[in-house]
Amino acid sequence: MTSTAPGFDQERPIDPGPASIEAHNVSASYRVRIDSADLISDIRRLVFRHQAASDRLIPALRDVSFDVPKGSVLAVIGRNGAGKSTLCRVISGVLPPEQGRVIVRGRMNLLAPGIGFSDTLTGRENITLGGLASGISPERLEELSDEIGEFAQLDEYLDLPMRSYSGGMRMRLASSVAVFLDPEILLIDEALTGGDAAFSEHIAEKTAELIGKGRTIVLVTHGLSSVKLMATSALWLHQGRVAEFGDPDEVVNKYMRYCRIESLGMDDIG
Amino acid sequence: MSETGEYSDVEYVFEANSTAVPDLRDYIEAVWERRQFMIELARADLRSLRTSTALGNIWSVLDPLFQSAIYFFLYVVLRGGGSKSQAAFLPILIGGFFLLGLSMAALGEGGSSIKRAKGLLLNSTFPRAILPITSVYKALRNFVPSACVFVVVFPVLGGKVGTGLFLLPLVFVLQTVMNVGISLLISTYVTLVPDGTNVMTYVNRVLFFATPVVYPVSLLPSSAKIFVAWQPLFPLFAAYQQILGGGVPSAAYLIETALWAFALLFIGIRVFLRHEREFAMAL
Repeated sequence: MTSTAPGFDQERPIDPGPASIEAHNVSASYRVRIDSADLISDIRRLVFRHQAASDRLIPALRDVSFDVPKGSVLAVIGRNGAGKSTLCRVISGVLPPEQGRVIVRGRMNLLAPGIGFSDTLTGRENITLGGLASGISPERLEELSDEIGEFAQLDEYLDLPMRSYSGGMRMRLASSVAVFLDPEILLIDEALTGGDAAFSEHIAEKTAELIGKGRTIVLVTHGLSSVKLMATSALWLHQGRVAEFGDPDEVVNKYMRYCRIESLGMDDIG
Repeated sequence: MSETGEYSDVEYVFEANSTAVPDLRDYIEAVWERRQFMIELARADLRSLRTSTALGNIWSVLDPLFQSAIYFFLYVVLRGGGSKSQAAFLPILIGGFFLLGLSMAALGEGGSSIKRAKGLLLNSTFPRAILPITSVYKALRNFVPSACVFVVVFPVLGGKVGTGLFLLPLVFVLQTVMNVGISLLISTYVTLVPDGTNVMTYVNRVLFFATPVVYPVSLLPSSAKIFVAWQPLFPLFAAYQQILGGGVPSAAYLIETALWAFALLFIGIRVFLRHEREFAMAL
């Protein structure tokens, strides 16, 4: 049975006005470098085919459209490689769409601003850098550092270099920074914000607090129970396309049915 | 139903195939708002360089001292004292090396600043120009101990001080402007051109020898000058040589340096802003 984090059972203050996020026919690709085989084949390719060791564009999102009203929670589900993390990056402006248009209204935080800084820096220094990059004032960050450290259950590790952290500690710190910087729009990618069950509940409580404040949340998750629990709408991505978008219960049920059929198919093949 | 929380007026529009360069004033404002981030990032980077050493920050003073000692050994001890003019060139050579370090940092560290920050770029949104500019700022901070050592070493080695010294701050500012332009331009090139890093290895080496640091400009035959005077670091370091030699930099070198500096800054900004959106795709 799923435990209910406080805050999720409350009425959600969804704004009928302009949406926080609008995605119109968005497509996006990654450029992937094709490694060369050896010197001879490189020369052959250059001389005979007049082609350099080229990049290949891998489509990650195709013609994706949806909107997220202010104060609502959109859950994004789908198999690995469906384009969920790419969608987060396109919404946050990190990755430009190849086609289409995304409009975002409000100050947003992408999943884990603490990720990406030096391992030789302490957790506290990483919090400071992550916050400053997000435009938070140094004074506010000084106030928040201890709170974030405590929330991330880092204790004395907060002032130790991050190279001494376990994988779980890094993830806890990154997700704590994301939820504590009080964004108006929060994009959470669970692939990057893991942690043990107790901490996940801890994060869920904090997320509920943000929802209570009327913040807009986009949650990329494999946890279908949390979709039903937290989301006001759900988007199922399949091979970069929208398979379903709408009521979370309906979308999750269809997705589960698809997963069951697919696993039966795999059994048959086996 | 309760009210939704207060939202700021910020609106972002991300469109496909947008080649429009963002409004420069807004962009500079956004970079300026993150100045504290730049300062902290540079400080953290410099600190992390020293944390794995036993002497820590003492290295920032030891490093220029040792470098000066090496040049002294090469130019005075190994050459048996050399001629008077060779000995007189030693303080100019040491100063030139320290100053060249700033431009080489803009080319090297500044150039690779986007590629090195892949994790940060894929997980945070901020004006990307902060990264190459931070490399220039970091090199400036790193230069401070070298400058202090040089101020002590220069008169000890018989360096001459002339009225041209008053123009040193101006030339230094022009070099910094040039370095910002170079780091913006090269970081775009290295990020987007697959073989950019390989090519830069040779560019750095050519620039090192084409820049008047290890040789006095006055000794350069005019036939050789044609090959080295075409690049931005030539007039800059020729002006430095004149100042550190106790003279006044020629107006031609100053004008040429200023033209290069502002042209590189202009081109660097234009190219960087035009291609900034492609970085995440290429990394």
